[in-house]
Amino acid sequence: MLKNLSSTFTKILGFLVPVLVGVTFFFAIIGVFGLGIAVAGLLVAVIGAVVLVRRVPAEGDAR
Amino acid sequence: MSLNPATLARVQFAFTVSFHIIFPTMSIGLAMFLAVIEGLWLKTKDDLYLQIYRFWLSIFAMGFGVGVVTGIVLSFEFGLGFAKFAQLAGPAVGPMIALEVLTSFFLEAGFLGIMLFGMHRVGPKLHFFATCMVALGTLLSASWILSANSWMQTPDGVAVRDGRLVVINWWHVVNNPSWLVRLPHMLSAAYLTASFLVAGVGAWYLLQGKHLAFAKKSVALGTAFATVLIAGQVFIGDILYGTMLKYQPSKMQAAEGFWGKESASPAPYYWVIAPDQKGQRNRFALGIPYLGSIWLTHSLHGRVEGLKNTPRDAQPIMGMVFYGFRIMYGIAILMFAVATASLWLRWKRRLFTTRWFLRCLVTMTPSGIVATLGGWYLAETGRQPWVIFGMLRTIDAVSPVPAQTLLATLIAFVCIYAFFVTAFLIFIARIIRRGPESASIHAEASGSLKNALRRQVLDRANANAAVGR
Repeated sequence: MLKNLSSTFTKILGFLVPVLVGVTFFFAIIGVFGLGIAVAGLLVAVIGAVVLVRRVPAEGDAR
Repeated sequence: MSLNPATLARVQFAFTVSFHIIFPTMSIGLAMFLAVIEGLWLKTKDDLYLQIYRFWLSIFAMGFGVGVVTGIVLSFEFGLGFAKFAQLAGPAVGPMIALEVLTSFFLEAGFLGIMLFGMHRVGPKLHFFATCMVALGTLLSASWILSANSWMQTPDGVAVRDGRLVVINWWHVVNNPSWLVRLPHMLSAAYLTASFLVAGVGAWYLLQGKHLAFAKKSVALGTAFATVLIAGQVFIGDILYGTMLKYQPSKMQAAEGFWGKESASPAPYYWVIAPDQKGQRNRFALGIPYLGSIWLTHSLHGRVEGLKNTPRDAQPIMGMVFYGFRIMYGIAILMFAVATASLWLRWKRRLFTTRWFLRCLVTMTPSGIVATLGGWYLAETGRQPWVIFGMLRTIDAVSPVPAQTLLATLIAFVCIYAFFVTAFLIFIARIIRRGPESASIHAEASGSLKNALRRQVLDRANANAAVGR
């Protein structure tokens, strides 16, 4: 029972975390919180994506 | 819609330019992708990159060819369908189109042959240089065309003297107020188009369980490029929105779907409307409360300007502008969501095994093309009723050509382009079905028909010998 609950919780979390992070970045980048935060959001998003793509090999990939 | 010459000339241009824009978008994006891939191959010596290069080179070549052919038609249409526009705008737009030919076409023509057929005839570094030059050529081409089109959107550096247009500042003509924002927006769109094409084809192979190494690398590369590009694209899009609001408020008023001088507070963000242009109202509107204020005014209770702020005779048709914008923006949001999901799945090491995500990538394969079309409809229909914003109305730019002639040529264009698109799709489908391994053979440099045939005969003989053994 507890194992099932934990698995459901993990699944919900696995959905919610990227959605929240994505929405926050989207709102920041389109300037909802001002131009300064838009530029900062863009830099963090781009640098973060580049670092993640370079450092974390996608599972079983051909690199 | 009555069949008058003005309407037919506009429909004809809209049809031919809509068809044309698909191919340069693909070739601009794929040329840069090929340059990056060949660079990676030279750096790592990993043959998988070479395989990816050869696979996409065939598709690039076909798209490039169709793009050139359909682009030539547009130059003629300027003169034949919109002679008064060509007459008035010639001094400003003409040199930019000529410069496109002199800079980008010459560059592409010089290096395309080496890129397509020179893999075994020149050294790898020279071949890489040729690929980079072709990519630079496509970029220059986009720059000149965007400069000319942006000048039509936000004209600058000219004066009208004795009914003729005179250039008084060339730098202002080229670097008009919207060019430097629209150019990166278009280039990003092209690169995103290529990224989703590459990722989509890779995802399809993964779902089929075929060509796994190639497929994984394609998905990894396509999603990586898309993730970085979409963040930049959304940012540039917002800057462009502000620029157009300043220089073409009527376009953005129509794009948001509000009619009144000011919207209600807080303003909703409409996704579906049924506009009544005559009655200057929406028959029906469906939106998300508060989101209009948050997105468009960056406050919780801000009001948005409506189309009634523009005199009736200077208003664009709201429905076309609104839905062009919604298609582009809706797809951009989907792309952002897919990019975020790809990062998350990469982090969880499930990028290649999550089937719903792979299906999603396959569905998104043509998304860049559709978004680009939506964006161009927004740009072009939003500029109406002007062909040169604030200077020349479209209705006054049309040539005195009989409606029958325009209708006949329109039907001819539809038939010929239907043939083009069918041939193109069959060709691409065949390449994708064959897979990347066969692309390596078929993309071999031949240099002449005789050599190509000899190679095919040898390939077949080798295959028969292998079967015999």
